[in-house]
Amino acid sequence: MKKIRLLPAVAFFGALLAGSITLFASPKETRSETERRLLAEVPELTSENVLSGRYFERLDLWTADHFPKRELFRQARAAFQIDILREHEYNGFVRHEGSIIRLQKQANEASFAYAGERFERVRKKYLERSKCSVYRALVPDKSSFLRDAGYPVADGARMEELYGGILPFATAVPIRESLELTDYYRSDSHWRQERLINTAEILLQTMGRDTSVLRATEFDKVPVEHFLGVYAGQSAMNPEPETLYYLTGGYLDDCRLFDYETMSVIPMYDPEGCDARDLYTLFVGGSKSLLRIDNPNAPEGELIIFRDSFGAAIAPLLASAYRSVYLADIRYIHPDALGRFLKFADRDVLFLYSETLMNNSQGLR
Amino acid sequence: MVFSSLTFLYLFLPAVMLVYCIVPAKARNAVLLLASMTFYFCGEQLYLLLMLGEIVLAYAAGRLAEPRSGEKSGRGRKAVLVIFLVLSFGLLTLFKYADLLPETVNAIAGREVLGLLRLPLPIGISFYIFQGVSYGIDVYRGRYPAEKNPVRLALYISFFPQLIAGPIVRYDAIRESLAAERRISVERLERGIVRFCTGLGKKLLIADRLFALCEAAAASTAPSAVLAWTEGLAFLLYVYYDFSGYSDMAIGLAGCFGFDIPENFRYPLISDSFREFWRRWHISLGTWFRDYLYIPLGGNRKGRARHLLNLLIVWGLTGLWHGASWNFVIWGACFGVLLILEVLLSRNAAASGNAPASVGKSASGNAAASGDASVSAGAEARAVTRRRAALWVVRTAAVLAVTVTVFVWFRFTEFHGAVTQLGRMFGTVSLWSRDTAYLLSGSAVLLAAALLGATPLPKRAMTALMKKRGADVWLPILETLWILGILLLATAYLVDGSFSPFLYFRF
Repeated sequence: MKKIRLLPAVAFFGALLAGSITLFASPKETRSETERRLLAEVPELTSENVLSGRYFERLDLWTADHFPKRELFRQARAAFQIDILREHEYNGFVRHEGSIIRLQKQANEASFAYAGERFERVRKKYLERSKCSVYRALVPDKSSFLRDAGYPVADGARMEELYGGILPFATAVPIRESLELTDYYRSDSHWRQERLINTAEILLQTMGRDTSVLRATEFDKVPVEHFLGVYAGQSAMNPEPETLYYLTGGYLDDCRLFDYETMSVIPMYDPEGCDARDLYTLFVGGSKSLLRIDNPNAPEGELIIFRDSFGAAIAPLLASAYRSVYLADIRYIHPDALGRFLKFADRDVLFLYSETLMNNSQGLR
Repeated sequence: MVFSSLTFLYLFLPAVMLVYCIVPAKARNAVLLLASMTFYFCGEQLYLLLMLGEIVLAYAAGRLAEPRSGEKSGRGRKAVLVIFLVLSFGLLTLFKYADLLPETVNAIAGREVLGLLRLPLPIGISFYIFQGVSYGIDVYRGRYPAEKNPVRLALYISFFPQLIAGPIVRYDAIRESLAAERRISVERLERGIVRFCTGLGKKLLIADRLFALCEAAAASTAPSAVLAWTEGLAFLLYVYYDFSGYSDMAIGLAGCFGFDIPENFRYPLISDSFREFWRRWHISLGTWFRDYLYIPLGGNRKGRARHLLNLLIVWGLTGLWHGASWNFVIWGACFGVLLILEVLLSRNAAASGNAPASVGKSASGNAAASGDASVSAGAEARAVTRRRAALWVVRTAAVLAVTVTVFVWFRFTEFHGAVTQLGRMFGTVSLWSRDTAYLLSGSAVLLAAALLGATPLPKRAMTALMKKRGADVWLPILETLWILGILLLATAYLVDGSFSPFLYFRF
């Protein structure tokens, strides 16, 4: 018998042995940075765990989470599914015109309703007897731009209808038409600040503010290279890094950002100090409960924005027309506590939320 | 534990194989038995005792029910067998079907009239009980002597490659291998590994993707008739790939350890009759019911009415074997009715002298016969061949389409779910929708590959390649690439996938 007949058995068991040895020998991480989650811990070998079967279930999870070259295997799977099987989706993500998009297939009406309850609480406590002018704008999810391309995604008009239904006391600001897919990062869910001038202008115009400063300002685009957004790791589609820009110059150089959590002034953009795993957090302090942007050169007037992370990129642009812009994120601060810091009298109030958050609003307090 | 898990592939399997190769040949049964018990314990801790109980019962029944020379009356043996069958099926009934009747009564009453036991279903119980029962009956019938070595019998019932999802192996199929001092054979290893990896690929790279397609179609907010048929076809293919993939893995692994386990699937989706379909689908279950129920009931030997009744009983119970749901009974009964219709139609055709030439023949047989005709005869013969081939295609497509509709009862455990889906297939929704185009375009390659893989064509191509010159050199290289390719992709799916159990675990 020729020795070559041994090849399949040697290769098979060799691969299995190599896999098992490196599984135990390789250093273990506690967190997957690409998927942004904690990895399974090695299960505890106790009689209770063994007899209940939990030990074996957790061992399966641990093996999958700590398998050597895990990230490469994830990318191989994505490539097989998308490039060989020609499936459209991988883990709920699609690649369209170079952009990675998580498909939002249905409007979650229960989630909108929950958000509505939270907003109603804000209205009753702060807005009912105030002279505030209240506005609402819904940031389209990236997937809503795929509807015309035949993808089974939620109808943007239906989303707007639901949003209007939970904020009937607010004037709608139609920003959808000012945006397109290329206004968002390719590997992230968020929009690009440098592409939001038109959108900010529409918001300001609808709120009756002067947009001349915004239009006249010649911003400097400061690049931050090698940006890979949240979708890069979650989708395992291995996209090319892109460049993130933030805007400086003009009135922005005189603006100050105040953080109510630390009661201190912090940088408007902080590429060094932000969470390196999520560069988008460089905009106005990242995930903060309450912030204030002061623009000493702007005319009188204050704007309170109830917002999610999308508000961070556009708020500096809106500050062109307000002396102060407050950014309240009621995922991190209970609305009842806002009264200690904010006065709701004769101000503009904007509910600026993304479709993504409205469809998953459980985090709102 | 499942084959399609990293724990099995990279921890359990290499460890077992290593120990199996190191120990002396006479200790190998003990190694495999220990491995089998460990394998089962990883999935079922308390219920391991249940399987051990069935092993003890089968061992005792075999020893006591075995025919003895000079024995005048077989009453004692018969009583032993009856007690064994009552206990074995009693266990199966208790753990699998105890809640079926109370649930039915409660559903009819619209309130909870009878309490439910809600016992978790022990993994693989239907398989190891059926193996134990077949052993007891065969020994009683004197087909082979009772096994005196408890390790061998325990290994037969608990052998991990086929323990939890079959095939249902008869004791005489592996009796000699159990008794022999099995040597490690490179040729067996090679064949076994290729078969195992092929099964692994069928399960993880095809079956699980087909199931994802079914789920995506079911979740669509824009259903259509075409989408419902696509979902139906994908589900049938999923069951085929999931179960035949597991059977491939079982056969391959058993081969590595020196056992020849019989085939469980022979390209059922190219059948041109339902009779042929069941000769090719889950063969070990079909032959079990044939040998231990259909023939003892009288088969087709006691008149037409009894024959048809026997068919209905057997197929109703075949359905029930798959789970404690009336939908499974309906699924089995549908096949029973279809088989009865085939019997009646073929008899009528035979009586009028128009018996279809292909009834009872395999598709490959038809093709071969057609091929011979075309070579030996002239234009008329070629025309006949073409007509026969066309007829075969039409019949196969019709059988496939009907099978897709029958498997709707298999997909849904709720009566209402199956009826709704059948309604969609037959026009309660529009023919086409936006989601239909999206899902079809995204699954075309998968469906085409799955359909092609369900035919003998890939195997025929492989067989032809093996006859080429130099195959003894490049074939092992090709096999190695195949094995490693599947192993790497399977690992990729497991590393980034959720738990992927086999469908037949619940049976």
